[in-house]
Amino acid sequence: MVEVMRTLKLRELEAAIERRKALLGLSGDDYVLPNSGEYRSPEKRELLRAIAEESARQGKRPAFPGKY
Amino acid sequence: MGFRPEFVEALTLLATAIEQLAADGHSPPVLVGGAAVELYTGGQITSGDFDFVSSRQPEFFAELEKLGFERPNRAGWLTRSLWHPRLRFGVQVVSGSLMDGNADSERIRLVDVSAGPEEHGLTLRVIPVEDLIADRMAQALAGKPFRSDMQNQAVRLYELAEGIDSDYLDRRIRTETGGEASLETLAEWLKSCAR
Repeated sequence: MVEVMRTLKLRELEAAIERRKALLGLSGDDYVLPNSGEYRSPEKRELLRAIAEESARQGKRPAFPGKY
Repeated sequence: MGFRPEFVEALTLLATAIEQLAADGHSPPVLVGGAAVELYTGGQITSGDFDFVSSRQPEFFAELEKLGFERPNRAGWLTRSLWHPRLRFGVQVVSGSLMDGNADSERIRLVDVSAGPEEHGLTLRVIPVEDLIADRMAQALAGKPFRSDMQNQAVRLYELAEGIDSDYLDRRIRTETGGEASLETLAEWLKSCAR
């Protein structure tokens, strides 16, 4: 039976993922690969470039890898 | 690792706008794409923007603008995007329907992003993980050359999820890949992506 439309608290989801990671022995921060960025749409590139430039203007680093 | 504070703050703002939209009787937008991968992997990738599916983009953006999102006065800026200058992330509406209508809307994941354990009511709608896996597999196979980034994401999403519906997942993989792949393919990929 499929459990549908059940609401999960964000912290419950986080805890469930941590359980799975422990079970699978996944550790570190490199086992999920980020998008290569190669196939981004022009709109997406423009958006990410704007965010990166605004971040630089504020003297901050963008929160994402600079692939746009 | 866990979710970065900016990500949680962004989710909270987005859920606030979505709740208002729903309260006004509009169909709530659904989170898809890289930010959904960030959510389902516990923050293992860092997405720069939040992609949504919504048939009510003008109303959604109007709610977001009340919360500090802006449409910058910038050459080349497109109508489908907003951003939040302080949190430095973007929002895009990428489509009007979830997976071109092929996803089972009853399976959309509801994630309550309210801060405290006793608080409720700020709910985000997120693409079912099975559909996200199928989407990543289709992107992997559509790439020329084959996209190992999407393969890896499909595998990790599968590994990290609890309560996957295998029948539904198999069906969705077959549909999204035009019959090129199935759950069996994903099982093979699991072996090749083992750590």
